[in-house]
Order: sequence, then structure tokens, then C-alpha cells
Amino acid sequence: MEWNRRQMLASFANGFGMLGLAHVLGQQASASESTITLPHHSPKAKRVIFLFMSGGPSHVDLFDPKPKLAEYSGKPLPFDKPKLERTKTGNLLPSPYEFKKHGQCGTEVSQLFPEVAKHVDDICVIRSMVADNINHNGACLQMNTGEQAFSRPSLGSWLLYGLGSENQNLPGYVVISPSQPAQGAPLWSSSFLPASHQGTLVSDLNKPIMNLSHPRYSMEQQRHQLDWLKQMNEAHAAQRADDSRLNARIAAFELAFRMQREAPEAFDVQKESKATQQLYGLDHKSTEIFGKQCLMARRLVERGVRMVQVYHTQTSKRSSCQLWDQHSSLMQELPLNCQATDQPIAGLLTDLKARGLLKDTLVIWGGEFGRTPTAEGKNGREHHPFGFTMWMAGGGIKGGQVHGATDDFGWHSVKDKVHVHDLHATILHLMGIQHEKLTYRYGGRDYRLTDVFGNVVQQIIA
Amino acid sequence: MDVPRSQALPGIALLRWLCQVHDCSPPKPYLTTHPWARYPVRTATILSCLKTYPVIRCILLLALALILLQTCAQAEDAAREAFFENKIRPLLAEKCYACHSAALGKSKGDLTLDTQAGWLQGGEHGPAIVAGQPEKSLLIQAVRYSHAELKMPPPGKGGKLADKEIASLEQWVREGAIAPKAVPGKEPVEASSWWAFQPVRQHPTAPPGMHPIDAYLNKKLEAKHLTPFPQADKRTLLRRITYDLTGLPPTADEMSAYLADTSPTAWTKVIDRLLASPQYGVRWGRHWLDVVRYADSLDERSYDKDGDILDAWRYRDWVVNAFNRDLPYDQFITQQLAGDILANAPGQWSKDKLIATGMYAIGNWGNGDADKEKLHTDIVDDQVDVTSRAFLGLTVACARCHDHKFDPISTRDYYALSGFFFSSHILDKFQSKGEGEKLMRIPLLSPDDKKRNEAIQKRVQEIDQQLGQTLRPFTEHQLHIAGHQGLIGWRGLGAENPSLTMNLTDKPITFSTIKLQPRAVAVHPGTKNAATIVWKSPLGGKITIRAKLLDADPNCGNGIDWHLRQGSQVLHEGLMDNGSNVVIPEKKVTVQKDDLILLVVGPRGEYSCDTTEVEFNIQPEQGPAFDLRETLQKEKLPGKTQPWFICSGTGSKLSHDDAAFAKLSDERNKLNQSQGPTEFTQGMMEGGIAGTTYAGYHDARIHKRGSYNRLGDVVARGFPTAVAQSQPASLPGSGRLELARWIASPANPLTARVMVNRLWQHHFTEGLVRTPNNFGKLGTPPTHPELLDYLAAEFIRQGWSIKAMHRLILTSQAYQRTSMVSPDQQKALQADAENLLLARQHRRRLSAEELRDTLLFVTGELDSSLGGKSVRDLMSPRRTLYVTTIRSDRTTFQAQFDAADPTAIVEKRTEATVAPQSLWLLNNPLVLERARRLATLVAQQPGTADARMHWLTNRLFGRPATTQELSLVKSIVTHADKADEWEMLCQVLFCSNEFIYVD
Repeated sequence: MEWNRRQMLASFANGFGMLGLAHVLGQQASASESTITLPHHSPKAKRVIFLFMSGGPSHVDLFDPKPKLAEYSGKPLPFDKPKLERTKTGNLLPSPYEFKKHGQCGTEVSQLFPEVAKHVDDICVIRSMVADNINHNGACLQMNTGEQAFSRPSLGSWLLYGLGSENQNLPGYVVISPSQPAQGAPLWSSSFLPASHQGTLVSDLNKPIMNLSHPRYSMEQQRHQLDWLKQMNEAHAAQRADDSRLNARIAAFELAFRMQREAPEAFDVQKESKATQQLYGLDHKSTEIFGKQCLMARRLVERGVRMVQVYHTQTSKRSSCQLWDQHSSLMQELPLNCQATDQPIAGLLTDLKARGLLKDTLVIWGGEFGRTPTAEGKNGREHHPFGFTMWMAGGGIKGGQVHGATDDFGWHSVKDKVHVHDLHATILHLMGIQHEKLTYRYGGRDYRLTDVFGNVVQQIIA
Repeated sequence: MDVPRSQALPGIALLRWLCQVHDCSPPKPYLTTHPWARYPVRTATILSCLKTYPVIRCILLLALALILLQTCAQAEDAAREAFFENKIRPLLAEKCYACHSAALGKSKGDLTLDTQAGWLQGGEHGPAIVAGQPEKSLLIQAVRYSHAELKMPPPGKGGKLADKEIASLEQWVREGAIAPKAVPGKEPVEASSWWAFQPVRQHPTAPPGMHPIDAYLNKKLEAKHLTPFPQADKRTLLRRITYDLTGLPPTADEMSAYLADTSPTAWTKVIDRLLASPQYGVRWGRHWLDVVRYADSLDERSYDKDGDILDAWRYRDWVVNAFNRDLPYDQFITQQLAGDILANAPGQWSKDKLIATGMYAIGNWGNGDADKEKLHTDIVDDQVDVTSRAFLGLTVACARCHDHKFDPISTRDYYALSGFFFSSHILDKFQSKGEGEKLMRIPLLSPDDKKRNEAIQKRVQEIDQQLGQTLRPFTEHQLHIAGHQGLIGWRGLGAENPSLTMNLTDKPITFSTIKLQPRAVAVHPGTKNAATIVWKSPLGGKITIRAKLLDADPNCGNGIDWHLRQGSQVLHEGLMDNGSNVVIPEKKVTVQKDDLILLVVGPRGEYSCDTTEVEFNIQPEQGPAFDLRETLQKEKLPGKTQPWFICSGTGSKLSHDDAAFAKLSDERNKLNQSQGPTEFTQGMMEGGIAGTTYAGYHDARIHKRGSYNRLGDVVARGFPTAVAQSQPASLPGSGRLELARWIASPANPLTARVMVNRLWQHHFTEGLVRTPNNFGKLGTPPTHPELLDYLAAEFIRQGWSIKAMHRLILTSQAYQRTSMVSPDQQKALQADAENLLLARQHRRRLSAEELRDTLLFVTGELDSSLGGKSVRDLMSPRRTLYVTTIRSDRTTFQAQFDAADPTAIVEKRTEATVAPQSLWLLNNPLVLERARRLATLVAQQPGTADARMHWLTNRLFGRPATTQELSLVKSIVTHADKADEWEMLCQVLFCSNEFIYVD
């Protein structure tokens, strides 16, 4: 039976979607649907950990110091705000937090991130991010799929589609989020790509994957069941030898059984030494949740998972789909959020480096947008996609630098703008993929992650 | 070399036609450079025609005369084309194409200069060239550097052109900016030749006695020297058709009845029985719901809240019902697209028609976008997309930003369609920037209902007005409002408001959006009726009146309208803003005994959040003061607080002893009850969204590159030009009904083909066109075009009856063929690996719904009732169609087993075989519980372990057990009554391939 690329991907993706285009094309050199070979070039990164601060972290309080804000404190922004404002904000609100230079490179970081600041020599801070949407749903969707309104495959799904996963017993794209971020599943959807490329959500950190064990049967009992099943299925398949789907399904049950053994171990952070657990802050209530998420991420990428997205949606005090959305209580909640994530992120970077994983693991930090330099109420900031900060480390990133800039007030991105599409193009590039060439034909056109946009930001690449 | 029709000159065309009609020698290319050579007519041919058919010489002479005239003009054109080729094109290519070429994919300023369309349409600044008018042409101004902004080529990119070059461009524009027809960069569209846009054709009919479907299929098989596979056995057939039509397996009784029925009508009896089953609609309605991106809820966070698609289930039930009652497909289309318009026609009202437009309410667009203009275009895009793909199998949405790259669908076509939807609405209005949209809810009231309700309302208003003349003290009271200890409320009979609330504690109480201070007394007016505090004077003499009002609900409402009176004489009056307070100036008056002093707190707008704290104090010249708060806090119950009375109404007379009041009040209550609660649906209505530029009926402007910030020409509402024979002459209202009628017309080349293909697909796993939502160039052409046309024509002939098409398809041999390939048929298999020619049936996997429904069916638990709101619990016994699908939730059982993605217009479900599915079957409580129940049933069966195993396989697979299975049972089940051993085995059977695949 002849198979085209799509059928192969759909039918033989026995695990959690471990077969990528690269794999299939490797098996089927004459694939007529596509002439591309993947990766397109030698990759600098093999896996991605995306630390997503859901809600929109305030750039002027964290990574983008603006002394002018203090000078103009309480005064109006000295130029017109853009047409698209979500709500009218007030006058300029300087950051109450102190910025200091860190590391060899001297990158300035706010006092709220003392531990992350120690890693600035590995980090490239992008201060000139631009996005298009001013509300969470649209902005989160764009940051994850490139599109603001409609269903499109997510970054992780494209990576899995293009490259596959390196571990057939684990999901290739895992999303760890104790509470639902923004609108949820559309952010890690495979959309029109084969369903096996969608992100697998882990929301219960103590019970990461559903249906992984039988409440009553032992592994031995289940083994017996599988042996009987095999007998029945083989008899059934014998009369239907032409139908490879039947064998694929027999194999899927065997794989499921292996996963029952291996997956729990992969997600089990208790398997780590005390020292490692402490490194991620598992010994403190305030850092425990995010620490577990980060440590789980490391265990997964170490085992060949292609992309892990770690959403910060829960602290010991709060659980929210937009934890970093400080319309008010900025000066109370922001320090708490930073405290909850600082040690775990620093621990992750330290640990990845110590294990030699950082060089080919791309770590990305950011949210769907930043926040206004102007005040909302007395102690809050509004959504702000016009200029904000993200950072990247490891996986082919030239650390110890600041890329791009916003204006003196932190409002507009003015120098070396990096649009979300550019970020996506750069991530794919680092993973060995030319963003213009990874396409999928659906509903009458060829789609890609970057639509018709995107430029690779060469300056941030080592 | 052939020339597109539009370019052929009339005279030549006439000649060609004459030659073809009269079977002259076929036209061939003429091998000279003569201008005539562009037309495939040989001079010799014309002459031979002249000789052979003297009767038409006159016509030919006329044609030749025409040609002569045209040839002169053409010679001039040729010179200009040469000028373009020699001077202009090289110049444009060298100096301009680096930035302004369609080949770049994205061109600067959206301007392309490599096609005539490119420069005439222009870019962001408008047309680049006005033919014949260099001074008015932006391109000329730009190259002269005389334009204020545009200086081309820019100084950094080659700089200003040489004077000679500029002069050439000027000359070219002055002479009309002629370009040869064959400027590369744009292939001529082939609308007229694309198969799917051709009218449905009548093809040779089947030989008598042969099923037409088999005739068409077998013809192709014969051509490939392939023999059709034999018919499947009866067990396989019954299992296949029962799943196909109802999504459920046959019962053991149905199986034995069918096996026993040897009559020639056994099969058609089965077809009729299954088509008559209400479960048919559950299965086939779901196929349609896949296509229209059905979901029960948009988002977990707003599940079942205001703004969610609360009435989606009504639309789902409408679809199921439409299939069950075999609503003709043309009406099925018209009602979904324009049911609201149909319902408003005199005498045509029905709930169903309003509900049918729910297809558009369940749309998929980014709710919550702050950019409302963009959101509006996204909503319309969803509507254009689903309309064109679901009904027409066309991907029109591709043309939102630019002309379709593969199909003859232009951006103009897109905006012509979008005008219908910009002139319609599914939202009453847009919410503020920070808020998500709330879908409009349409009351399901017939014109008669409305009239009746209006009459009732009118009478209620009259009564209210009369009652308003009197002051009716509150009589009802309620303790612990909203669960708050010490929060009490009073009100009149039968109405929520006006009302009074009182905080009996020494702490503030916060409930809803309201905050009541310690010991506060607050009143709330009704939406049309005041709350009035009355002091009925127990004495005569001078008094001093003091009063204060304070808004206790500053987050909502818009303030109140108050006044202070003595009897009917106003002492003070004013308006209080939301969130503020009023200190009413102290007033000294003289009263007689039983005079009324009234503080009237009235609504300023129709809000239900005007809770207002009141302080009211009356100090006689002698004796203690009367304080409202003090008295009420002490007495707590209405009726005991004299001389204070808290009343509804604004009259000047207390109504205690007014007998007429009781009667009126009674009538009012009865009237209100007679209305009953109104049901709502969500769907589409006429007119653009209120408060936008599209309110009313409007043609849309082209949004260049899809952006509302770059508006182009207005495009009249109309149908895709490549498909439509003609455009609507006039459009009443939005024109949606005209659009619906054009789509649902027998003349539409796509509609019937697209739907019969979908029906075929769900009987044969694959459609005759394997891309059911795309009949365009990127789709796959039909494997059997004649059969597709036959089915489409038959569909129309049978009055668009879907059930008639089922009967037609199911009675074919092709449907009944086996899917089993024996070893000696390997060659036949290889000859057509993908089974395009349908020598055999496809084996298919159960859908997510069928899998879960079957698990519940075989344990006897399935609740086969139809309709109603969805249920969230997967463990519920309802059919899976009724288990809630939340659009944002892809972690569900349904998603895991490849149910349709509710964010997409799904033409065909994917079929992934992945380990998490196996894990679900091995460990999920739903499966474990079914295995337990089935084992209990097994253990209740009489007989030996063998007999029980037969019972089990009959129930699950529709066949007795094999010897191999019987020996397997022996090795597992130590005692026939041991349910836990059977349980392990039952689960294995649930996991088996035979359970989930249908041969």
C-alpha cells in the first residue's frame, strides 16, 4: 500500500506523535509531495523550553530600565499614544525597583530577579519585542501560533511536525501549566496538522499523564491482557493482511504498555537528588510549584522531548490564567511572581549548563506582551504590545547581550524591532528549519508558522 | 496556441464558430508572424468553408469586414506593444522590480509593476498609472521626483532615472499604457474550463437492470481489467450499515432477524428501518456539525455564562432533526443561511428557521480582541469561510488578502460575499475594548406571541401607572439575603424591585457589587418605578426635615432621580450621579396630622443596580425626633414601622385601604404569570452590527491585504464570478436570502455535487472528490466525474432528498462489497492500492462517538434519547453527541479519538493511531466500568463458558466465537460464574481491533 506523507504521519505516529517529517522523508526518499529535507541546515538547538509568564510581565520593572520615567514621574507621556488603547491609562509611573548591571556583560536587571541576574552572560535580552494584539487571548494565540484570531498550529506542533521527537515513549511536546493560561488548548493546538502533533497538557503536577495506570490491575495482569489481546488481534489481522493500520494499532498497545513503565519516571521530580531539588527551589513553599515545573521540563528535554512549554499560572498564593496581569496591585503581585520564578529559572539554567544541555537547549522567557509605562489606577499597568522584553539563552544564542531598544519611556520599540513573527523565524532557524520552507497545505493554501512574515534575527545568534 | 475567449476578436470568433459548427478541418496554429496567426484559424480553412457553404457567404463577408476594421487598430496596438517590450519592460525590470514585483511575494507599498492589473490597481497610494494622463499618474510624478513624498527609484536605490527614460515612461502612459496581453506574472484564470464550475451534466444512463452506481464504477474497473470484489457476508453487511446509518452496532436480535430473512427485500427493509430510526439523525447530524465547527461552549472560563454560545444546542438539535425528517437539502441550506428572513415573511414564522441560523452564531473567531474593527472583519471572515467551504466546496477565505493563487476567486469576489455578512449581525453591539463579545440572544417568539406579549405589557404598564398613583407599602420580607447574616430585605408583592435592604450588623456587608455600611438602610427603585419613603405625620405643627442619599453600588447603574414632597408639593428635587451622594438641604414645614412627607428615590435609567442608602430624619418642634434608621433597625418587619412606610409608587395616597388596588395588583400578577419564561436562540439577523459603520445594509470595501486600515473599492454584494452565471439584480435587505437561493439552486454547479460527495464519503470513507471542502484546483478531481454528476442530478431530481440518496447508494453492489482481500487478490490490490476505483469497500475505524456509544450500548446502558442541553460528564449514559464539547478544550476523550476539531471546518476526520488511545482503553474509568458491567451480564447468562463466550462475541462483533477464542476463554476463565475473570476478558475485547474496525 502506498502512503503519502500525511497518511504516514497520521497512521504510524504510534507514540505521542514522535514521527516528524524528517523521519518520514528519511524513510521515503522519493516523497513526491515535498522536496524539502529536514533539518534544512545544521541545527544549533535541539530542543526548546519556553517559560511563559502568562498575563504580560512588566518590562520597565524587570529588564528594561527607564530613568526617564523617574524624571517624568506623574507627567503625561510626552507624545500621542497609539490609536489602539485598551483603556485610557494615566500618567507615567516610574519603576519602584532598582536596576543594576550584572555579569561580565553588564546587562541591567531589576532587583526583582537577583538569581536570574547571575546568568546574564548566557542570556540575550531582547528589549524590542513587538506584538499586534492588545488582549490576552489574541496576544497569547499570536505568541504561540503566529495568528491572533483563528486556529493555527502552535510553534511546538510545527517543531514536532518538522523534526519529530527523539523519544518514542514520551509525548514530543509537553505543556506544563497548573492552571489554564488564557484560552487554553488553542495555544498548543496542532490545528490542521495531524492531531498527534498537539501539545500534551500536564496540569496536575502530581498526576502528569492521564490513564497511565489501572486502579486495580498489576502490570503482570495487564501484561496477560495484552497477550490475549495480541492473540485475538493477530488472528483478526491474519485475514486482513493488507491493512497496515491493524498492525499499527497492535504496536500502539505495546507502546502504551512500555509508556506505563517509563513515563511516570520521566515526570517524577522526586527521583532527583535533594541538592537538585533545592537548586530549583522545591524546598520553599513560594518556589515549589514553578520549581517542579522547571525540573520536570529538564527531565523531559533530557529524555528527548522536543519542546516543553512551562506556563507560570500558579503560585503558593494564587492561581490564575493571567498571573502576570497587574492592572492593579503591581507592587504587591509583581515581586511575588518574580520570587516564585527567580530561583527555579536560575536553577534550570544552572542545571542545564552543568549537564551540558544548555548549549543545545533553547530557553525562552517572556509573556504575550509587556505593560504600559503609564499607570493604570495608582498601582497598575495596562497591556502593552508595542514594545516589550523577552529573553533567550542557550541553544545557539549569543549570550551576554541586549538586543534592540524601546524609546526613553519604554513605550515603542524603536531599535532593531523584533516582531513575534521574527522571534518564531529565529526559533525555527536555531532548530535547523527555514521558516519559509516548513509549510503545510490546508484549505487551499500552504500555511507556515510565520504566515507571510518573519525575518531571522541574525544578531542574537552565536 | 489557444487564445482565451475574451481576447478573440468578434469577427474571428464568428469564423471559428462557423468552421467548427460545420465541421471544417480542425483549427491549427498558423506558422507565420502575421497578426492573424494569433488566432487559430487558417485562411485556407475559411476559403474552403466559403466554397462549401455558399449559403453563409453573406455572414462571412460581414465577418471579414469586421476583421479589416479591427486589423487597423490592431496594427497600432502592435506598435505600442513593441514599444513596451523594447523600452518600458526592460526599464521597469531593471529599475523597479527589485521592490515592485509580484514574484517577490511581498512588494513595497503593495504595488506591483509587472502586470497591468498591478499598476492600474496600484498600491497603498492608489493607482500608479492613469492611462493617457501622465500628469495624473503617480508613477510619473514619482520618477520625476515631483511628488511630495514619493521619489522613485529612491535615492538610496539607484536614484532618479535618466531624462530619456522618464520621457519614455511619459510617452508610454500618454499613449494609454498599453501592455501586451501576455505579460508574465499572472496566469489567465480558467474559470470557464474548471470541471467543478461546469454545469452538472447528464451522462449516458445505465443499462437496464443494472444499478447506475455500479454501471459507472464497473466501467472504470473494466477499463483497468479489474474485477469487483464479491459481496460481503450478511453479518458484515448488517454491522456495516447499522454503524453507517446510526453509529451503533446491530443488536443480536436484529442480526438473527436479518440472517433469517431470505426474502429479496431483506436488505431494503433494513435500509428503511435504519433510516426511520431517530438514531440516524444523531449520526448524520454529527457529520454536518463537523463541517460547521460545532461546539457547545467557547471556553472553559466562560462555560455556560452570559456571552457563551448558550443556545448552540438548539442548533445541534435542529440539524439532527433536519436529517431525521429528511428536510430537503435546498431548504436545509436556505434556512441556515437566511432562516431569519424566511421566518419574518408573512405567515412563515417558525422557531426552527430562527434556530437554523445558529450555524453562524457558533462561529470561530478570537473573542476578546480589543481591536473591534479587526474583530468585525474576523467575524465576517469566519462566515464567508464556512459558507463557501460547507455549501460550495470553495476556499474563498484565501482571497481575503489577495487574489486566490490557484482558483479563480478574486479579492473582489471575497468582499462581494463579505458584504452579505457585514449587512447582518450575530452581536447586538460590540462590548468595550476590555470585554469579550456577547452573542445576541433572539427570543423565540412568533409575531402572534409578540403581539400578545405586547398587549400584556401594555396592560401591565397601564396598571403600573395606576398603581403608581398610590403608595403601596412593602409587605414581603426576606432574611439573610445572599447568605449574609444580618442582611434583610423588603419588597412589594411579586416584584424584585422596588425594594429595601438593611444591614442589621455593625460591620459593612458586601454582596454582589453592593457595599452596605453598618446599620445602613437602603432602597432600590424598580426599572420604571420609584421606591418611596413615607412619613405619615402623627402630629400637627412645625417640623424640620433632614435627609441624605448615598449610592451603595458605585460600580454599576447611572444614579437616581429623587425628590422630596409634602403631599403633592415638591420641596426639593435633583439627580444623583452614580457613585456619589446627596445631602438634601434642611427644610422646615408645617404639617397637619396624617399629612405625608415623601422621599422619592426613582430610577434615572433602566438599571438593576441602583441600591441607595438613605438617612431620613424628622424633628418636630417638640418631642423626640423620628429617625428612619432607628425605627427600622428596631422593628425590622414591614407593617410595624409606623409612622414610616416604605412603599413602591410615587402617589400621594397610601393604599392600605384602597380596595381597587388589590384587584389591580392581582390582575397584574396574573398577567405577568401568563407570559411564561421566554426561550432564546442565537443566530443571525438582518442589518450590520449596530454602532458600526455597517449598521444597516452596505456593500463592503476591499480591505487591501486584509487590513481594515487600507480600504479600497466598494464591491457590490454578489456571488463568486467564476461560478455565478449572473449577479443579483436587486438585493432586499442584506441579500442573504438571494445568496442562499443562488447556492441552493439546481443551476449552481457546486452545491449538489459537494453534498452528494459528502454523502458518498460517509458511506465509502473517501469521497469521489477526496477533498470535500475544496473542489478547486488544490483539491483532488473526482475519481468518477460522470458518477458524481449522475448523483448530483439525481439528488436534485429527487427533490434534494438526502434519504433518497442513501437508498440509492446503499442498494448498490459497490456499497455491499467485501473489504477483505484474500491472498489471491494481492494483484488486484496492488493495481489500485488506494482503492480509488472501489473494487472493494473500505474498512473503517469507529469514530470517537461510535466507540463510546458502543461501550455503553453493549452493556445496555446507553440512553438513546434525543436533544437538549449537552451534559458535561463523560460517564453520563447519553450518546456522545450530547457530551459537551468546549472549543478551547482539546484534552477530551473526543479529541483523543480524532473527533472533529471544533475550531476548524472539518471535511474529514484524521485517523491517528496513538498510544494515548490505548492507554485510555486500558485504564480509563469509563472503560473499566463498562467491562465490569458487561462481565456481570455475562455471568448472568445461562450455560457453559463456551455459551457465554458466544453470547459475548455475538453482542460485540455480531458473530459466534471462534474455536481459538473458545480455547482462549478456557485458559482465562477458571469458572463460568467468575465475573472478575470475565471482566478482564471483556476489557480485552473492547481493546480488540475487531471491536473498533468495521469491515
